[in-house]
Amino acid sequence: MMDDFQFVKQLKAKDQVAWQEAYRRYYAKTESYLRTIKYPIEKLKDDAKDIWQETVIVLYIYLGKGNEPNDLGAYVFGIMRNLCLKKLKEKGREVPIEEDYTPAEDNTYERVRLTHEIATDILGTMKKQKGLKHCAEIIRLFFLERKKDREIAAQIGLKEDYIKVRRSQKCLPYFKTKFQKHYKYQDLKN
Amino acid sequence: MENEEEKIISYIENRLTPAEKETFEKQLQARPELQESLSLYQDLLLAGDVFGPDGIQPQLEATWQANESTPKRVGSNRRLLRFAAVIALLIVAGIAIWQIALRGNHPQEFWQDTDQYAQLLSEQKERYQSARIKILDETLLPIRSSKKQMLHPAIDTLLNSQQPVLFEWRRDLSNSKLEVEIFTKDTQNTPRRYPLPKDAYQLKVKLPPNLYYWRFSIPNEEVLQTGRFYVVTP
Repeated sequence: MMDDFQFVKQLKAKDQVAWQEAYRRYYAKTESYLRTIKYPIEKLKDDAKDIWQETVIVLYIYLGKGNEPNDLGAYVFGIMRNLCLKKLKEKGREVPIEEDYTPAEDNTYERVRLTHEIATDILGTMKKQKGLKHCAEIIRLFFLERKKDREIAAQIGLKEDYIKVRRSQKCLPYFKTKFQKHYKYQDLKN
Repeated sequence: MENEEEKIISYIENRLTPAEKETFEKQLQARPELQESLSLYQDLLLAGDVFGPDGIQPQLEATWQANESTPKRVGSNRRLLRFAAVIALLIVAGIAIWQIALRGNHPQEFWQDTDQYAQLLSEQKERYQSARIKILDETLLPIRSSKKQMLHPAIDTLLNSQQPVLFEWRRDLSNSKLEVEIFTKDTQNTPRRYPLPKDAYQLKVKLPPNLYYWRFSIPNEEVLQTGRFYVVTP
């Protein structure tokens, strides 16, 4: 069993052992809480998985911003409980009166999820665009796959300097304009 | 010289000198569009961290799959088997209780011992051999349950003389005008006739020990089914 300090450290480092520890710590509790609030049984398993994943990701984002919760267990339970109640509400079910559901203060997870969705959509169209050779690949590899410039250069078969110049002068200005004109961009701003 | 996009990336990757960083942060405060670009790139990098091919979400998914499909599944299968065993036991117990309860209402099932039942049936067949109506026996072939109009009594059932004989027919026939005739070899020309009221689907008749035949029909129209049973005193 890993202590909280170790767990937080491994989670911040995105170490493989952190995911297993997160599963051991929180997955069964998520399922159990869903049962407590009489969540529709036919969807319970799949939704418990989604909620557990989102809980861990929200925790990762929170830690990534330099925050340190005083009580890790209570903080995680709060996130998980809120997500469970939110999902129950989305299903048109009544949230138990004794459960005081408060929407999450930090919407980073939702914003990042939507950013990923819009970016994926734009990169798909950029591939076919004339005059944007290598752009979709450069942006995808750099941002979404977190590759270093030398790795991108090696993968595409071009020089590292070319990657930098191409990205900043051609690819990113075009991508940014398309991003801001995307039909879901307003959802991101709201 | 770096252009602005590269400057933002250098800032995110912490590659600027302290002086460059200070200048850049002043520009951020003065220019909202620069701040917006910075936020977008930070969110894109975070999106890669979380949802990228090696991101957190795919790794959590793999962890969940590994835990739920291997050791946990064994556990959940065991639980499922245990649950199935309990259900099976409950069903068996339920059937047993139901059988016991039925025994009071359905006299054809009052013997539990099948060997004893078979022996008694054999004795009755021998005893009433001369009381058989040959021409009718030839029509009494086993009938598929789906074609059965009369559900009880089944052919050659032994019934307890201390309880009324229960006749039960398909409920979808209950709107027709129906009749049950009961007779022996001796009374085949003067059978007991029981006109059946509409909406009824059961008839109970007390009979002394003997070999009996019955005829279930729509009077003057069609014989639906015929049968044979023994009434015995246990």
